[in-house]
This record gives sequence, C-alpha cells and structure tokens, in this order.
Amino acid sequence: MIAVGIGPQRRTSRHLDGLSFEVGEADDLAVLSFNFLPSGFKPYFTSCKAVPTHDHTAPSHPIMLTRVQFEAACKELIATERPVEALNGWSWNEHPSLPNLGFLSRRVFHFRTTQSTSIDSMPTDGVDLEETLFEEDEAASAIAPESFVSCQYVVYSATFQVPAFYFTMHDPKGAPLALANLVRTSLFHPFVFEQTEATSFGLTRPASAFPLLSQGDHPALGTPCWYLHPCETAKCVDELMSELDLAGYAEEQRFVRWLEMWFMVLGSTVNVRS
Amino acid sequence: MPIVQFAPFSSLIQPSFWHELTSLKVDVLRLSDEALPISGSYSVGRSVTDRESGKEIALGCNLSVGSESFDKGYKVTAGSVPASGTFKNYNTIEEFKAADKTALFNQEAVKIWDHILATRDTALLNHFLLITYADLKKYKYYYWFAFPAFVSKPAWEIAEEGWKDAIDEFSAEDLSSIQEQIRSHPSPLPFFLVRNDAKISPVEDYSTFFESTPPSSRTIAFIDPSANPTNPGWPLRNLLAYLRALYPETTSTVRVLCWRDTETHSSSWRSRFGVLEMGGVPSDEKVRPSAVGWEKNPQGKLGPRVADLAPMMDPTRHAIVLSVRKHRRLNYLRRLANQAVDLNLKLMRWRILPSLDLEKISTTKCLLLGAGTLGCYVARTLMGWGVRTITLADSAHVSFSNPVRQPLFEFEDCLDGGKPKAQCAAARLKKIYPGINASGHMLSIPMPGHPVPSASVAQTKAEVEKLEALIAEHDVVFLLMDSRESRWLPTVIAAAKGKIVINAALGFDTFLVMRHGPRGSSVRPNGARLGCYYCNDIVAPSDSLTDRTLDQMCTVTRPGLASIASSTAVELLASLLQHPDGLHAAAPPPNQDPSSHHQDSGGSVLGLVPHQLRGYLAQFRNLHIVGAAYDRCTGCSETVLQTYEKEGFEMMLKAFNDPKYLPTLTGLDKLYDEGEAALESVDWDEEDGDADF
Repeated sequence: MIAVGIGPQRRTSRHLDGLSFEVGEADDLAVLSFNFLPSGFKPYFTSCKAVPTHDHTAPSHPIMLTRVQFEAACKELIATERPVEALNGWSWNEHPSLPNLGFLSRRVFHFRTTQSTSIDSMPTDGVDLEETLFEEDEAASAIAPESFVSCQYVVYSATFQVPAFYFTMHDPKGAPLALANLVRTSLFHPFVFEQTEATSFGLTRPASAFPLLSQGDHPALGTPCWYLHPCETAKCVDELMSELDLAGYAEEQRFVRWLEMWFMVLGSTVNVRS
Repeated sequence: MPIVQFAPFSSLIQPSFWHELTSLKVDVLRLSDEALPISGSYSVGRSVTDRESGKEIALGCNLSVGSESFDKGYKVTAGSVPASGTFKNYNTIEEFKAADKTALFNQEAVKIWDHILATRDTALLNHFLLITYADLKKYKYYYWFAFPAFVSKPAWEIAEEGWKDAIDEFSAEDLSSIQEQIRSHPSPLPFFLVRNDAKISPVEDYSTFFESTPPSSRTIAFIDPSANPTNPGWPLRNLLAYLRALYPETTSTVRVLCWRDTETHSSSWRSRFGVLEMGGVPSDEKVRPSAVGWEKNPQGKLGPRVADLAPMMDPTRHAIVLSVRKHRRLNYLRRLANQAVDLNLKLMRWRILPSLDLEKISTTKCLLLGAGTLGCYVARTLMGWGVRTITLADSAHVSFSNPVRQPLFEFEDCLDGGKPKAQCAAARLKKIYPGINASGHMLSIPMPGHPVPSASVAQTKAEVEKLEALIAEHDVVFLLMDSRESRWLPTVIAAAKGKIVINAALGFDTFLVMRHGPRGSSVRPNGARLGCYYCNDIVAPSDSLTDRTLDQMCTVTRPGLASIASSTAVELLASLLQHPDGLHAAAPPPNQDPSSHHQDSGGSVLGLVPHQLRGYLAQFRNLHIVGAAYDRCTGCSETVLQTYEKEGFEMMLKAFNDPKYLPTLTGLDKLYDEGEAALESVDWDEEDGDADF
C-alpha cells in the first residue's frame, strides 16, 4: 500500500482491472493508495480501464510531454526534498556533448532475494588459485551478503514522448547481471514477473504487444541498459491522472504532478527505494 | 570481554573500471607490469530494508573503484572519502598465479607503517593493494584486493556495555555540529578526533587538540563503512595501530565514535559508539605488527576472483531483439567488433613495433581498380591492416569461374547473369566486417588503342570524369586490372593528382608489384625520380586484347600467384606509408646488408620500400628492381601530364583514338627515327670472305 499525502483530501473510488484504489488530492500531492483485495493483488499495466462513477470536468486527454517539459518537470521534482522514497537520490545529468538531452540518474544498492543460478557465483574457471598461506585472523567478522549496484535513469523516450526507466545492475565484480539473476534481486517486486515469458534478452507478457523488460542503449550515454517499456507506464499514469481535477493547475504543475504519478506507477513494478 | 570483530572491506568494482583497464593496457601499459598508484573510495555504511521480510540488511563495507580510479587528480563525490592504492597488472595468468603475494602484501604493509612513523600522517591508513590479470580476448578479469590492517596483539576488546548508539553518548546538537564540521571541512576527513566541546580535528593534531582534554573526554572517530551494529569497519584497525604507535601512553583505552551519518533528513542517528580496551599487556609499539587483509572470495576462501564480462560482450548469448531497437543493438555490437579488430593490430605495438603508426594505415583511403583475383585479395589484406575505406571499381559481372579464385564471391553471385563485381565485392566486405566503409562502382576504363566510336564519346567522357572523381577522393590507387593498356588512364590521372599508385600484374608464374614514382614537377631537390609502369616502354600502350586466343585472353596464372602478388602489394603500401617521405621515398640503396636497420638506411619501420618487385614463382624468388623515370614516358612524363591538365578529356580522346598521338606528344616517335638513323650511321665493315680455298 502506498499512501502519501498531507492536508485535506477529496477521495473518489475507482476500480481498475481487478484492483480497487482511491485517488485523492491533497493541496500539493496526489494521494494514491492501493487497497489489497482478499484474493491477492497483482497490478498489471496492460489494460487500464477506468470506470468513472461520476462526471469530471478535468481534461482527460493523454498528456504528451515535450523534452523541454520533461526537463522542467524533472528539475522541479528533485529540487525540493520529498518524503517519497521513489523521488530520493536523483540528480539531473546533461548529455555529454549535446544540450537538451538530459536525464535523471541515481545509484542504489540491491541484493539477491532468492537463490540465483550459478551464473553469478562463478568458480575461477578451472584456474585453481586458492591460497592457504595466510595467518588466521580472529578479529575479522563475517563477510556481508553480496550487494548489487543498480544505476538507474529516467530518460525521455523520443519515440513515445514520455519518460522511460532505464537501469543497469552489476555485481561487486563489475559484471552486469544476466536476466535470470536480475529478476531475482530486490529491484523487482516478486509478483511482477509471474505471467511473463523470458528469453535471455527480455521479458514479455503473452497478451501484450510490447515486451515488459528489454535491452537497449541509453539514449544519451549509449551504454547498454535494461529498460521498462515506456508506454505501459505512461498509459496507466494517464488513466489515473484523468481522475484528478487539475483545472486549477498551471501547465508546468500538471507536468510535475504527472511525473510524480509516473514514479508512483513505476513503484508498483520496481522497488524504487533509494 | 569480547574481542572486537572488525567488518572487512568488500571490494565493489564498477564495470567502467575494467573498460578503463583494457584501454590502459592496450594503449599505455602494454607489457609493463610495474606498480601504479590508483584510488578508491568508500562512504558510510548503509543498510536496506527487505520489503518482504521487514528485516534490516547491512550492506558490506564497500570500497569502490571505477574508471576514475586511474586518474591523477582523483576527486571523490560528496560524502565519500578517498583511499590510495597500489595496482599491479600481470601479463599472463601464470605470472599472476606465481606472484609472490606475501612479499607484495608485506611491501604495502611496510609502506603504511613507515609512513606512519616518518610523517605521523593518516593518509595511508586505508591504503589497499590490487593485483590483476586481464584476459582481453576473453573479457575475463582476474583480480585480488588486499586491505592491509595491522593485527593488534593483544586484541582489542569492547567494554562490558558493548556498542551503543551515538545518540546515547552525545547530544543531538553535538552530533549535528560534528556532521556540519565534517561536511564543511575543506578536504574529506576519513579519520578525526572529537573533543568534549564537540569540536573535531584531523588526527594529525592529536597532541595539540587534546592538550587540555582529559582522556575520558577524548574520542577518536572515523567514517565507518560498516552498517553492522556490533562490528566497526576495517579502517579502524589501522587508526588504532597508528594511535598505539604514536601515543601509546594514552591509548590503552580508546573511546571510539563510528561515524555513519551523512544525510541531513534522516530521522535517527546511525552512528555508533564504544569504548575499546587492550586485552592485556601491550606489545612493543615501535615494532611493526604483522598485517592481514587479503580479501576473501564469496565462498569465504582466501583466493582471487574472476569478473567475466564475456556474457555482456558475446553477441550469441544475447540474441538480437526483433524490434525497432535492433539497430541499436547492432550498433553496440559493431563497436565491439571495431575494438576487437583494433586490439589485434595494437598488439603489434607492444613488443614488436612500438613505433608503428597504425592510424596512418587505417585512415588511408584505397581505390582498387579491378575486383578480380588481385582486387579480392588486396581488399582482404587491406582489411587485415585495419584500412577503413576501400572502394572497388570493375566493369564486369561475376562469372562462374570467379568464386574459386576470387575470395569475395560465392556461387550464388554468378546466377542470373552474375552480380556486378565491384558492388558485390563491397557488399561482401561489409558482411565480413560491418565497420568497413566499402563501396563498389561499375566502371569501364577507356584505353589507348581502343578507339571510341563517336556515339560513345559522351559516355566515355562521363566515365573519365567518374574515374577522376574517384581518384581525387582517395589516397592510394591500386591498379589491379587484367590488361596493360587499361592502366594508362589511371596512371596519368593519379600522377597528375599526386596520388600513390601501387601496380600489380600477373604472368603465368611471374608477377610484378611496383609503386609509381611522383611526377617530375614535384620531385624534391636531390631526389631521384622513380619510374612508372610505362617508363621502360618505348612504345605507347596499344591494343593487346583483340585477336587473342582463349588462353591469351584470360589471365591464366598459377592459382597461388594472385595472393602472393596481392599481399606483396599491400605490404609494399604499408611499408611506404610508414616511410617518412611517403610517395617520395627513394628506392633502397643497392647491395644493402639484410641485417641492417632499415629505418636508418632509407627504409621504414617495417623495412624496405622497394620500387619494383618481380616474382618468379618457379624459383620462389623475388628480384628487387629500380626503374628510373623516363622523360618521354607515355604515362608519367611532364609533357603528358601537363597536356592532360591543359586539355583534359580532349587529350584523352586523342590518346584513345589515335595510336600515333602519344608517341608524337612525348617525342617517342623521334626516338625511332633517332634509332634508325643511328643504325644507318654505323659503318658496317664489309669484309670479303676469306677465300681459303
């Protein structure tokens, strides 16, 4: 359950593809709280069909961001301290050589959640190098469990004109994790991949036109990354945003709100804590 | 009392570190295995909450290295502290295994200890050692970190009450003050002292800072990479050793603040505090203690680790995604292919030829006139040298007899009349190596002795212009055609434009490979002008193609000859490009001692730069020939070139149509007359036969 908000709230109830949630509005933050259904809770984002129970005067067209709007919304979002975990630790980066192609980035730690395959715990490949010539040390504690480093990016997808979440994950040796081990880290919520088909290069859902998770080059850095398909998240955010009354907001504020919502939605697939 | 157990450092390597090491090794280090200084960094310990179990999981004491670790002016990010290190990369796995680890480790420990005693400085207390072996072809990196820490005998023990939260020892205001002082300190402060007035100072100021502070109010502190509540981080060990060495009287009991706070908006203080005591009679503080600290591998054993980056690089393990993103993946793989090709070439510079200028060769744009046996082999060999721009021109289509002798063609290329040879060859080059800039042009080269019918004049003019444009765009022209006279036009154009011309021609079991000399007007003073293909001719090139039998028409050669000649041609070019004088390189002096250094005696770093080579396959022998330029040459004399430059296509047309034009222009016709006259003037002594009978 994700619930954030301060101040007086107006609540409306919605059903969204098997999950019920409440969309409220505080003075300065959208409130999104998921109520768990007794039968289990699996938020997918294939078809978000909101069933309105009352009229709304707010505009409901999908919001397309331009690059400039994306940049402004990102900078506004990270400028102030937020109590939301998803928004912590991000910094704005410019493209190495070209203007207006910037993106958000941060580095977080994750760890293995279930026993992974032997790909990561590789032996020294037949090269027997074990040394036993060193004295025992009674003043050293046990080694901590292996942690993985994830470099995360929020970039602007020119194709879909919405933000996209790109990331890498590597082990302490500096080797990127294979997909099989990637999905077993604390980066992903356990239920996210339940109905997906995996190959070595991506995950797809049977009914979906697009792969959920695939490989691609970072749009600005050119380095190989994983990314979540952007229009899945964007579609959901649009649906959720259409329930909010944004009539009183300036355009820039709408985009900031939209981006906040985007992070929330992202947080239901990906563990977005810093 | 329980012995203090310190949390060891865990190495954390960014992938960029390996990429940087690879470039460094290939371009700078090469075969050197000398120790290099590097830098790493660490920051306060962190823990994460496992969402599912609710448990707090302490992350390891990470000491991190990345590509910036090799930089001289290493700067840490805010909140981190730097650690200096010694780095040694071995050239073979055997050397890595056989390296005397104990000696290396002790060397670092001695370095740290001596530094403490000599400078009283804390700079090396978190110094580390890293040994590596990089298998660049398999993208595997073997490595082992060591974090030398002096062993305290007797061991340190934690007081009865154990470790507690720092907030239980210091007030919140004091902790905030300490945090602010750390943050505003001009340089990162891995170790510091704290007084009862919450002021902090570098450890080096111990005597003055604590002058009027009673021992019960003196606290030593350090940025603690451990997040474990009962285990302080590894850097504390050497800090304690430092204090024991320099201030033994006041440090048998030590108050320790493990600093673990950086963010300002955290709700609670994470730093820890404890009082440590020597667990017995302290040993002689001036004797260097033994040290421990080789990093254990994830299996808990003392041994090196392997980072296998091959799965990231190996295209077959990551199948290409069938989506619009395919081209991006291919671009990435193409970059990898480029690196691999470059690697092979750069290896030559490690030991064999450090002064080889590979860039010079790879950036040379080559035009290959002829995409037959010679053209295919020349193109392949040029690719081996890393040449990035190869253009082929040919007038024919691939025929059924071609593929076995012309290695860029396959059976399917012959079907349906056959693909155009030049374009087909270029496409095949791209399949072999996608990074190549290869193109092919269907082009017929007009020839002297083959008159141009008036209906075809416009087309011929267009062909000449196309050839002129191609030659202008490239640096080197390879003449690889199958007839003598077809080489004339490109010879003239290339000479006029000052391009390098490499000429290769095949007989049945003999070949000629030569370079054309520069044009007369550009020859340097005191330079001898070397000749071209036609310089030794006293007749103009004429029609050698019509009225030939089948075996005279096809260039019948011993199959091995083409590759020998082509390779020789490319290697001649490579040597020429390495020569400081390039196109103007003089011919090698005669009777040269084969063992002399070619660079010193007129050659290049690759060796000789001969003018002409004639190969005799029957004897497996090459003859080196020097052909001087001929001032009445139909191919490269100034008369011809200047007439071409003045009259252009008009002059060309005359040469194609009128067999007497070139001899007249150059004065060769006079030569015949002179020759006849000379013959006439010889006074043949008419002797009567001896009538013996």
